[in-house]
Amino acid sequence: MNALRRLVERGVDGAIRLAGGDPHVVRILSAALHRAADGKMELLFEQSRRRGTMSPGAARILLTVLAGLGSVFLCILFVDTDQNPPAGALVLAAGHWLMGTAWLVGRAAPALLNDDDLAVIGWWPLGPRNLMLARVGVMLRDLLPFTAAAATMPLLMFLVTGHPPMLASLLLAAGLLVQSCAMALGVLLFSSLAVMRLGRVRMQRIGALLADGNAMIIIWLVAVMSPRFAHDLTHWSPVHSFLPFVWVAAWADPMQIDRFVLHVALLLGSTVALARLASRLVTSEPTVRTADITESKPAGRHWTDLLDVLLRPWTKTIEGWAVRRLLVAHMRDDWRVLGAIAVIPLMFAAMMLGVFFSGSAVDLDEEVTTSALFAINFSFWLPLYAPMAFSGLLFSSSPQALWPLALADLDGWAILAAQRRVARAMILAPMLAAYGYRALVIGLWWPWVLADMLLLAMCWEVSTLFMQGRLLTMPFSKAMSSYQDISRAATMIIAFIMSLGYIGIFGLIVASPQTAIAGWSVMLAALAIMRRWVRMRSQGRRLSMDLVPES
Amino acid sequence: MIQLHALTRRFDELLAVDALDLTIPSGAITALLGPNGAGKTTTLNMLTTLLPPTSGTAEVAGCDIVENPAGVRRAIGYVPEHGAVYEGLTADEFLELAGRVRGLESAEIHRRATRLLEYFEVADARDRRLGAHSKGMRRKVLVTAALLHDPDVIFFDEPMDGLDVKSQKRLGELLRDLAAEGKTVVYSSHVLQQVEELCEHLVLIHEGRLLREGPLTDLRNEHGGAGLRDVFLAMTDGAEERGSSWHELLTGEAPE
Repeated sequence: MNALRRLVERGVDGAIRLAGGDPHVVRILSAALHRAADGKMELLFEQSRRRGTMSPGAARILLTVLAGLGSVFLCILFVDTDQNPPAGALVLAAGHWLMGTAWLVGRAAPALLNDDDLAVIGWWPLGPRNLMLARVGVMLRDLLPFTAAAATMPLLMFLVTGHPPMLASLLLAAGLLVQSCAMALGVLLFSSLAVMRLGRVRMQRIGALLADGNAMIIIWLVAVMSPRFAHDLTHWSPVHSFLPFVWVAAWADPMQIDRFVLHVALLLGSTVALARLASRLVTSEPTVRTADITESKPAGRHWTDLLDVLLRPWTKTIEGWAVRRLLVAHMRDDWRVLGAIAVIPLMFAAMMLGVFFSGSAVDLDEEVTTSALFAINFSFWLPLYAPMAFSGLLFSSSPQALWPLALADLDGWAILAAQRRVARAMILAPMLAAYGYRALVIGLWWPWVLADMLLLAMCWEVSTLFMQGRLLTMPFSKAMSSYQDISRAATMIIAFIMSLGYIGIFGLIVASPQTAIAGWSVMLAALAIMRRWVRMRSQGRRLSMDLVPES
Repeated sequence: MIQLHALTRRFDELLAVDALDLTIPSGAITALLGPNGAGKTTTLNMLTTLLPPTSGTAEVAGCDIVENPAGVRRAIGYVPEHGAVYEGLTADEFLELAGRVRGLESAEIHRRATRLLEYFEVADARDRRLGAHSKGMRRKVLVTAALLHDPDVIFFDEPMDGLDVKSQKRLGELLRDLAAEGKTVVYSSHVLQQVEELCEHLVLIHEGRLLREGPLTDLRNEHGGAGLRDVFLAMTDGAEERGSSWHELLTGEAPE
């Protein structure tokens, strides 16, 4: 094992030298950026272990395993199809491209726009190429295990069944590997260009928005676009040569020699072009951009002042005031909070209000993806969003600033109640309003709409209560780091499991009048139990916060 | 030696540093002083190439900060006030990174780091992540990183912050040694007692402009042998009387 590791390290060092970098510098700097992107996740995990938080390593392994399992399904398509390009390979390449890019974009903000870069290495004679290679290394470090997991299954399938052909499997794996490099270089190039154009602070804010928003974009793309996308792409046409993942899928179809050669050349050529462009761009810029050291100005008016006023009726207690002020302060500067809170309702509202759907009434003759009824069905996603949206109210880039609240005599239960009220007003209410409007416009019977909204609100409440009781954490008190990403992965899994429960209850409610009573009763009981449980755990207590990192 | 030639930095409307012309000699510890907002940090940022000047330039160890920032970076050491480090790295990893980017071999880095860390009595923590270090321990690692490559010019911004008394004494002795070796040592601090003990030369700036530069003893003699604190207050309009009691300050009402 050690010999293999040394071999890999030598290979990596050789590649770094070949690219014009110093292996020692690149490897340590890459580790520094990687750990900086991870933040204090290990320290935080130590603090949170007893609260059932998933360890960062376990979360990564889980994601990799899920990628591998996902490719099983695609392999079945791969084996059964006679289409050109093979549908399984196409969906695998597209999924790898989509998920990988989203993951990289999530990683890019902390790894490429790390504030410490300026403070720590801004005055060091660090070669720009070393910095570029370290940044690419950070991204590949995350992407390659994911790629390996996705590519391994076709190879295993060959060993077991003899299909797909070994050559196709090997070529597909190689194609995915090249695609990984191209994606890392592409993200680096794009983010470097954006930093040059927009500045570091603005890009950090956009990155913060995307950190939580990209997951929603993926869900939306997969759910809404995939039926048409799959239908179109399995009927090959030259226009598809513009799509990068088609270049990879064609690698698995070497018998179509013309198309194979064209797409191999396209993928390899674009990767080399990206590498050259990224290298030229990064090395032509100052090692670390410094243009964002700016003067301090009077704060003046801000749109969050309006938010402060609007939320007052729901936050009248001293604890409510504290939660409201924290929210306003974080909405001003912490775009990650803004992203976590705003992106989800916006995506939901866009679906509900028909921005992406042309249908205005229930019409069974319509294509499924243009039906208004299809949009309405997304209401069942609302409970899935609840834990994720709630987690956006936990994190802060400056948790140490909470010390005045840590020293104040604030009641934990009252704080959590205020947090729920804020979440209802800011996240739940707009989503329910969008849903109700759409449901009435397409002619659903209003008592059903009201009942549905009540049910969705109850699901929301149960989910947020569960998250509060599980974490017992002061709002905006967790250190901002990619521990947040890890935590979000765990949160998504919890949200998914809870949603399955809700779907079961929805099923009970619509099945018959008798089961409907049972369904509503279960929801009411769950709500009462959750409230009691959270109250018992939080009343008269101080909530957890990352004020004093434990070493 | 450091030479500033009309060094200027503007942030939109704010003129943070206004045409500074001065020379900071080698072989001495030079204090860079000024009240809050005087432009000290902006000046240090420009001299360490973290911030480009709006106009003017400076030469640090013979390298122009505008024309040859890479040369400046190779020649300087810097202990920044904020004390930022990559918290995920151990002290050893961080020092190896700091040394390697300046062309030192790993073995040499390890030898030098060991001696410096032992001098500051922090060698036991070298394999711990910097995120788990105390403020003082981190500061010692930063000083080590700044000195590892034996730079000609070293900038210290509040270097004693977080250090215990013994470590302060050791760092002070080290600074004197560095100056005695002919290096240029720039020391920025608000703790005037430390400045008085350590520095022979002084640069005083206020509202971005140079108020005074020269030997510290000359300045004190001009003010009748007064202490640095009184000289500083007299020159920066800080000597006015407060003129109100705590009660008045808090409530706005005169005491009965």
